[in-house]
Order: sequence, then C-alpha cells, then structure tokens
Amino acid sequence: MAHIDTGGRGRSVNTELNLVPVIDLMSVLITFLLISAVWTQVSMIQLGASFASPKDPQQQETTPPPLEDLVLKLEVRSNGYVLFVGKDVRPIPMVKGAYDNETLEADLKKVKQMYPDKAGVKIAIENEILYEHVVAVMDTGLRAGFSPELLTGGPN
Amino acid sequence: MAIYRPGERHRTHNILKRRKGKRGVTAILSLTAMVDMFTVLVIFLLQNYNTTGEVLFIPKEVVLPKANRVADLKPSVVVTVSAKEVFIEDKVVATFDQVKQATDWVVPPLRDQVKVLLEKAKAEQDAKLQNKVKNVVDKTLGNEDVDPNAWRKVTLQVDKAIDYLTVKKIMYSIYEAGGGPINFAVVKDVPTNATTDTKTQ
Repeated sequence: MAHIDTGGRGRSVNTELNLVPVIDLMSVLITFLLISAVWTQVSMIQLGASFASPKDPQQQETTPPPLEDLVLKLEVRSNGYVLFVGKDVRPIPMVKGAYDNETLEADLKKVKQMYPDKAGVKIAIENEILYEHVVAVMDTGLRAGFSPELLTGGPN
Repeated sequence: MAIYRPGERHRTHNILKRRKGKRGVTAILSLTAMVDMFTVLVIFLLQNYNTTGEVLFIPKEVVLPKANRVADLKPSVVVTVSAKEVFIEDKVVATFDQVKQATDWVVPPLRDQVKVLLEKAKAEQDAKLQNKVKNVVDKTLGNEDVDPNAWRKVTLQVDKAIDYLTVKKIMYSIYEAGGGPINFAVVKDVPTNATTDTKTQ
C-alpha cells in the first residue's frame, strides 16, 4: 500500500494511506461514465428561412434584414459552384472531382468583409446533388459567417 | 564442505527457505499504477461526457454527414431518412422508393404522423407553461428560455447518400404538417484550427 515515510532520526512515523475508498470511487465513476458515454457526437445545423415555411399567425411583422436587395446567391451544380454577388458571377469549378469548398469559403469571407451586414446566403441546389454536399455547402456558409437559406422551389 | 543430512532441501533464496515459526502472509500490492490509470480514464471520460442529455437514435444504415459549425441538439420531433425507409421516432411511415418515385411532394403518411407528434409536443409545452410554480422558480434562477414555438422544431437525420430532391419532399411534407424550423442532424467534426459555435439555436 501507499505510505508516507516521514524519515528522520528516531522512531520512523510511517503513515499508511488507505486507497480503498479512492479505488471504490474511481471504479463506480468509470463504470457510470462508460455506460453513459456517447461516442458519436450528433449535433445539428439549422436551416435558415425556407421556401414553404408556414407563417405563424402570432408572429409579428419583422423588418427586412439589412442589405436584403443585394443578391448573394450560391448555385450548387453537378459540375461545381456558381456564386452570384450583385451583378458579379464567380464560377467555382470542381477540383479533381470534388467540390472546392476552400475556394468557396475564401470567396464568401471576402464578401463578408465587403458587406459585413449581409446575414444570409441563398443556396439553390440541383435535385441530383447528394445530401452530403448540401450539408457541406451549408457548413461552408456558416464558417464564412452567413446563415444558409435554401431555395428549393415548389412542387410545381 | 558442509555435510547436509538427507531430506528436503531449499535453495538459498530467502523466500524459498522454510522458516520455523509463524510469519506474516500479507502481500503488498503496488496500487499506484492502477490509481494513475483510473485517474487518466476518469479525466478522459469526463471530457467526452455529453452534457446536453439529448441523444439521437441513429439506425445502422444511416450515415450522417460531418460539419464543423454546429449547435447542440434540442428536443424535437425526429424524422429519419435512410436508403430503405423513412422513420418518425423509430416508426416506419414510408419506404424510400415510395418517396423517391412520388411525383407529388407531399408524403401523406409522413405529414399525418408529423402532425400528430407536433400536436402532442404542443400539448406538452402548453402543460409546461401552465406550471406557474415552476415558471416562477425558473425565472428566479435565470433559466427562463421558453421558446413559444419550440414544439414546431423538427430534426431531420438523413443518410449522406440521399439525393436532394427526396430531402426536399420530406421537408415539404414537414412544412405541410405545420413543422419548422427544420434542423439537420450532423456528426460534429472538429478540425484543429476551427472553433465550434456552441450557441444554441
């Protein structure tokens, strides 16, 4: 067992530390934590304003966000991204068969620097695009400081 | 050279020598290493402990996409879309092929089931709001964060290989049932240079 030896001359004062309660406590704590452990951390991304969101009758009229008239739209196509900033159109093609999220993030950050009050980016996505890429685009928008708003069109 | 009498012999080691008389049989265990290991394990597990208490059931066939800028999960109605079926709270409401092949964007069984669950959530929230004593206590403690539209929230957990058109149909059905805002469930992927936005939404 662990002990504290005070040493010195004369009679040695050897104090035994009782580690049994510590080990008991540790065992119970480890068992509890292992049972309640969540190994895959699931979180969420919130969707911004959307196409068919029903209006809440109790909701009061809100003022439009700043720079609402400035077009900031991102199109996700099967061959890459196209970013529309005002009248400026910036295509971001795929790199080695994958979407170029780094360039998109850099471009969006530049836009954020130019228009810091612009809050949301409207995202139009083709039907065949996989959900994985949808989330990646939304995540890129959030990293650049924009709230993603999906433009989905209607059933007709 | 010494002369030994016949009989059993022991080697020269002290432990193996048979001693006369009583001797202590207390084995001294060194527990320091074990206590060290326990401490490291407890610290690791405490760091990974999920404090929100909100856990989603993820079916085996659903692989969630990864994202960096995420928020903590909130209690809500959960709709799961796998490559085979569409579930609401572990109950199958439609097959994936039905939704994919449908020309109409509304999936009636999904819409109806979401409507039922949303009404249930609304009733629960109303009952909660009527609990005046608890509200006063919460207000005093500074825990007042009751969102009147919290019951409308829907969490969508979709397999990452599903096409966007199918996701749109599911979302449209949820909106038709009166749900929204919709949150997408993702697996937290924290890179080394990014910060996580833990702001609750």
